[in-house]
Amino acid sequence: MNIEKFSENAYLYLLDEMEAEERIEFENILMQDDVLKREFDKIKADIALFEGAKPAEVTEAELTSIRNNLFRTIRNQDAVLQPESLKNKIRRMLLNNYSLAFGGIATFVLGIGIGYMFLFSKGVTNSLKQEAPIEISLQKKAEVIDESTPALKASTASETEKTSGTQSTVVRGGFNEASVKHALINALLGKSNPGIRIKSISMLSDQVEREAFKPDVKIKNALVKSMKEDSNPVVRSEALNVLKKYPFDNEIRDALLFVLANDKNSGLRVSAINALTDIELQGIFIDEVIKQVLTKRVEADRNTFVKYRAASILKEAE
Amino acid sequence: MNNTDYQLILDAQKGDKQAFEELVFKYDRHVLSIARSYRNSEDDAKDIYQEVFMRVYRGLNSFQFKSEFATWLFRITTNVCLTHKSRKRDHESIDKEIMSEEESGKTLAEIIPSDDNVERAASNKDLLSYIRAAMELLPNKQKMVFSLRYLEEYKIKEIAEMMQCTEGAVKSYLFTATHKMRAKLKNIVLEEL
Repeated sequence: MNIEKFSENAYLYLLDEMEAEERIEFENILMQDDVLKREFDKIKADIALFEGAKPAEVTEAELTSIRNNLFRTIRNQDAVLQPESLKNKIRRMLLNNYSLAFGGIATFVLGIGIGYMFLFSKGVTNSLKQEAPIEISLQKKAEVIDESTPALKASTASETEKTSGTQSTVVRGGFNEASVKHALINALLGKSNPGIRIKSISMLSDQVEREAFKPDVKIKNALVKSMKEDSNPVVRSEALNVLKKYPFDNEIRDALLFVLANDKNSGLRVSAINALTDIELQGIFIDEVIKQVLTKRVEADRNTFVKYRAASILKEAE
Repeated sequence: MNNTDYQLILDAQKGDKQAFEELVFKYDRHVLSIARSYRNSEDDAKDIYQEVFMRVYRGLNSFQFKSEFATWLFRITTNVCLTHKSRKRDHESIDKEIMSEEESGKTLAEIIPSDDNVERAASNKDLLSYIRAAMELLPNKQKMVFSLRYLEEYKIKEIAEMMQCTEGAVKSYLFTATHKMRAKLKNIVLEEL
C-alpha cells in the first residue's frame, strides 16, 4: 500500500468512517510496518489539532438575540407584504400611472355629476361629501330586529333593507362619522356571529393603516374588550393585531399583559409576547410589570413554547 | 421524519407562525454553529443564520417531505454559506478569495499579520487562529467539507447529503483540504507538537 493511499485510509479509520471488516484489514497492515505506524501517529495528531479548532459553543444568550431579530424581520416583512385589496390596487394604478388622464376625466365626470345633482337630486349631494365611504352590512334574522342602534335609523346616511327572511342594516358614511363608529363597535361587541365581528375588525384594520387615521378611544376600548373577552380566539387574535398598530400606551400594555396571563389560547399568549417585544421598536423599554408577568409565564405556563418565548424576551431585556 | 416535525411543518405551511418559530428553536443552534465554523466572523455567521431562516420561511411551502427537514435545512445552510459574501469584503479579501479559488500557493507565514513572524507564531501557540487562517486559504467547497467534518463532526454521508454530491466527492474534497492544511501548518504548528 502506498503512503498516500495509507494516509487516506488512516483518516477514514480515525474518523470512524470505515466498515468493521475494513478496520480489521487496516489494523493488520498497520501492525506490520513501523514507517506506517509513525505516519499513523502524525495523522492522529493532525486530527486532534484540527478538531481543537472548534469555535466556542453557541450560547443561549447569543441565540436569543439572533432569534428575536429573525422573528422581528419576518413580522415586519409580513406586514409589508400583506395582500393589497382590489380597491387599493385600482387606486394605486390610477394615481401612479394615469394620474393626469384620470384627473381630467374625473374633473369632467365630477362636473357633470354635480350639475346633475343640483338639477335633479338635492339629497345625493350629501353622499359626495363623504370621503372614503365604507359600507357596513349587518345581517340578522328578521325576528331579531336590531333595536339597539336607534342612531342608525335616524341617520340620513343609513337605510334599512328588508329581504326574504332576513333584515339587512346597511350603514354608509365616512369612517369618522359617529354613526359608522357606533355601528362598528356594535358589530364588534354585540353580534353573536363571529364572522361579523371579524369583518368589523378587518374594516377597522383597513382604516388604521390609512395615513389620515386618528386613533379613537371608543374604538380602541372596544378592541381591547374584544381582545380580552371575546369567546372566539380568531376574533381575539384579530383584535390584538389591530391594537398592535395603535400607538402603544399603558391601557394597551395592560390588555396585552392580561392576554398573556389569562388567555387559554397559547397562540394568543405568544402573539401577546411578540407584541410586547415590538414596543421596543417604538423606543419603549420592557418595564418591571411586564418582566413580572413574563417571569410568571416562564415558571408556570402550560405550553413549553410560551415558556421559551417568555424566557428569551426576558434574556434580551436583561 | 418524526411526527412532531411533520406536524410543525404542516402547520407552518398553513401560516402558523408559532409552528415556524418552534422549528427555528429546534434547529437554529446547528445552523449557527455551521455558519460559525465556516465563517470566522460573528457578523457573517449572524447574516448567514438570518438568510437561511428567511429562505426557509419563504420556501417552506415548497418542502414536500421527500427528505428529512433537517437535511433540507442544512442543505440550505451550506448553500448560503458557500454563496455568502462577507460584510468585510474589501479588496484584500476579494484578492484572497481569487487566490484561494486558483489554488493559492501561499504559506501560512504569508497570511499571518505582517508584524508577526514564523517564530513568534510558533511560540504563540494560538492554534485556533492559525488553523482558521489556513482554512481561509482553502477553496470554498474544500473549506466547507473540512469544517463540517472536523469542526462540526458530521459524517461523510451526511455531508454528501447536505452538499448534494457523492460521498466520493466529499472524500476527495476532504483529503485535498486536509493535505493542504497539513502543508500550510507543517512549518509552524505541527513540528511544535
